[in-house]
Amino acid sequence: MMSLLGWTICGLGSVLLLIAAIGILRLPDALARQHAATKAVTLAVLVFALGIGLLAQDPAWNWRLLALACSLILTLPLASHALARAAMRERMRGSGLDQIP
Amino acid sequence: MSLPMLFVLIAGASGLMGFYRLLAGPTATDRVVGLDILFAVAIILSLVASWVSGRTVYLDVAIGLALVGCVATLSWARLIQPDAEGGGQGGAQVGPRGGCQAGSQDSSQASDRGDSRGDGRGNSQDREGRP
Repeated sequence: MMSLLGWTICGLGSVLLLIAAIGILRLPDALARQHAATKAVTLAVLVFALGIGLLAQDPAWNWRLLALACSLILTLPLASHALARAAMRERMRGSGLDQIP
Repeated sequence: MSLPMLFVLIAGASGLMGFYRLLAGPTATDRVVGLDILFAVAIILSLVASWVSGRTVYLDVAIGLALVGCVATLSWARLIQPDAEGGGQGGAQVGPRGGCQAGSQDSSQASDRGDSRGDGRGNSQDREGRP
């Protein structure tokens, strides 16, 4: 029962990763692509780690997966914020506005 | 076809899309976004590898990939962003200018052994003068 739930959650995570990749391929703008990349990919990796943790049911696995999830949650918003600022500056460079965020 | 093989195939397809964006992105931000996707694909592939092989070593690899991927994306984003026009000496300008200076110094040191020393310095001034 728990194995079926774990495989289902892993499948959900990989489908989320595929959706994020399609969004990166199809979205029209650099800022929109960054939005698809950072948020959906973070959710995909977290859901996949949750599925592997449900499959394993072992403290040695679950603590490592918890460390992975904590490091992802703590560090990915910094990277996505810096990427969004770079994309915003690159978009506003030719527009002549001097209030650059 | 077993179920982890299906996950590997889905992650590989996502990695191919991210690699296309890395190669053909019109701006530099798109390339960094493609690199970010490739890091996430690598994390998921190492999770699948840890489950298939039954070893926890690949989970440590995944943790290391998460940390290194954050640092890589952060430093690339600071490196590619354009300077603020007419801004002060904020922290935002340290990244790209420091990176360019480091690269030009390296090239001038490399060309110091030859006789074309002024070429590298002129190149660095040209690169710094770009708005």
